[in-house]
Amino acid sequence: MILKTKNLNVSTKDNLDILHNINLNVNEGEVVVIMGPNGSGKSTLANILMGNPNYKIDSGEIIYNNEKINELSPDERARKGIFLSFQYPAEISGVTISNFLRTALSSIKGEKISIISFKKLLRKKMQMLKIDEKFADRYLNEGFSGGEKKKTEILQMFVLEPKLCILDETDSGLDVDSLKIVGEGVNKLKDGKRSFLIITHYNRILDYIKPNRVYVMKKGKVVKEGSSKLAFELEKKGYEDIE
Amino acid sequence: MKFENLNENYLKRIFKDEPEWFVSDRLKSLKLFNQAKEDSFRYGSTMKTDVSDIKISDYESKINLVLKNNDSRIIIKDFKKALTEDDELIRKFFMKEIKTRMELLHKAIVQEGLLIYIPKNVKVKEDITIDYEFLTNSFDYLLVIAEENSELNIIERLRSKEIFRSNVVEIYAGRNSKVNFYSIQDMDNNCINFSVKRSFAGKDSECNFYNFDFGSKLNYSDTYSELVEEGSCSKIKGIYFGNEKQHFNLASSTHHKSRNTNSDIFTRGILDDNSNIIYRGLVKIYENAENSNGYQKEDALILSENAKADSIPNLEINNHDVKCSHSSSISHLDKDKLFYLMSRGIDYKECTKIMTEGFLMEVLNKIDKEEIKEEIKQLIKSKIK
Ligand SMILES: Nc1ncnc2c1ncn2[C@@H]1O[C@H](COP(=O)(O)OP(=O)(O)O)[C@@H](O)[C@H]1O
Ligand SMILES: [Mg+2]
Repeated sequence: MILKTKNLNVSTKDNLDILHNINLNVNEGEVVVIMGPNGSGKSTLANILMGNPNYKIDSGEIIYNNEKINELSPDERARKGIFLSFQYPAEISGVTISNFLRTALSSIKGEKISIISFKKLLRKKMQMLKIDEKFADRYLNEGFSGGEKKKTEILQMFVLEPKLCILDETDSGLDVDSLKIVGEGVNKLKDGKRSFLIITHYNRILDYIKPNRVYVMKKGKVVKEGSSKLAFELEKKGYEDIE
Repeated sequence: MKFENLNENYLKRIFKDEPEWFVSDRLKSLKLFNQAKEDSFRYGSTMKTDVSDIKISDYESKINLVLKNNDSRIIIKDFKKALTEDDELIRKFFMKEIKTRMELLHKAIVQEGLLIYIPKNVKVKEDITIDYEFLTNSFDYLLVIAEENSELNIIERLRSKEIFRSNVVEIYAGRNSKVNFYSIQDMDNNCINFSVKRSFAGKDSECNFYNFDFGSKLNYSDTYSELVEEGSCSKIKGIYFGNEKQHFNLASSTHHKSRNTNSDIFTRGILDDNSNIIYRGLVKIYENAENSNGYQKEDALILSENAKADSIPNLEINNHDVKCSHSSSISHLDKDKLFYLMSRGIDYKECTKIMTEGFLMEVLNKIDKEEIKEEIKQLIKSKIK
């Protein structure tokens, strides 16, 4: 079991309750999908898993690799192998992708990485994702289109090679070609050990990735759990009928 | 502000070897100083630089000064020597305009100083660097005269013990000349530093200031750039970083006195701990300065709860055929951005450094000199706890 949440109740800093009794499991090597309409709490879940201080856990547990991580800071979680591809990545002025990612990778690996060997590594990963090499020296997400931001998130995931990849609507905002690159990219990262928690409300990315399990969220609750078939049913019928 | 033991006899004694005309100028200035009202250092109803605790009784200055210049065409002279050998230049250029009581005092007791003279058509490739280490209170002066078609860069670095310092820099840029003046102030955090920098730009000349303010518990810095003749331009770029209980009072102003003149003021700074700043910006366009452009922008980033920034941007426009703009902003570290960066495995402290450096990057990018850029980045890093 790589990730497990037990009766997780989450509210905002201003005590607005958002998530209620969330129980979910992600096993080693699995692809787990969370679907649900806008406002159902998917991003909040992703953020609390990553340790966003805007939210607090009122009760319940997040267990990652048999360790309770409720109190860990975001950077500690990242160093343990958790990664979040943000639905709305922040724009960081004055910080180049290349410098930033080198710092991040050094910090996760716990060792210094030379500029030269990092540039080589970054170039390779950018080629895999068909990202223009010039982006390496651009400021992180500043002035990027929605699609460019999403691809940059995946680039970071490729470089940092996390154990648990949480993708929050990475498929929205991507054109067909980019979606294909990202979808195939995620498949390349699948190695039998790495796990994925994929949040989507279009399930377009499911054209490329077969999930082991699907959870449906509504109004801050998990209302249904099923196999990959569930995703395609939802595609046809929508969320209205599910309670 | 209290200045003790300061009287005619004292001045006559310590300046006994100087030319009579200059000593007499000193005495005149001292008299005016004694008659003048104290500088208020108040702005509006709430902003104030508190000088009430300042008490000075030692005036004899001692500076460890290291000068680097590899171009024999440039004349660099000790100010004292210039007083006798180049008295015409000094009479013509030395502190012709006095705006504050502090400057009157400075004129009365100025001691260490340099004259840098760049003859016509001399384009200096290597930078002139002046490293100051202040060992006692200091009243120092720098006069730069760049003749027609000349070019040079000057870099000053300021370090010190716990002292009081008053400084005046005056730059005269001749026709079609180009002068860049970099000032890296990293004095002890217990110093008091008053610095006035002025430039006067001749026809088609360019005179730029790059101010990097890090040190001193009280750091007053007034950068004044006058576009005297047609076609001249000036930039004032600044970076500051305050922490502990530092108080900065920074002013940048450009004065367009002729047509076709351009100016650009851009300052960004960081405030941590209990530090605070009063920042004043001014673009002034005179009546006859048609077809001129003046811009100013000032942004402060606050890292702690108790740090504070006050910004007073000003435009005075007396000609309508001009383009001017000003903007100022005060922001805090963005929590969402911090979370985003931390989610990539980098701890809080390092993320603060990354965001701080990122914030200053837009100004840093305006510096052409890579080695200065690196030096400033290191100073920024060393200031973040
Ligand atoms: N920081 C916050 N402050 C107030 N309300 C919030 C905050 N974050 C999320 N919400 C609310 O919680 C609900 C779930 O939001 P979110 O997790 O973003 O949903 P989803 O990602 O499924 O669209 C929404 O009603 C949203 O407005
Ligand atoms: Mg969402």
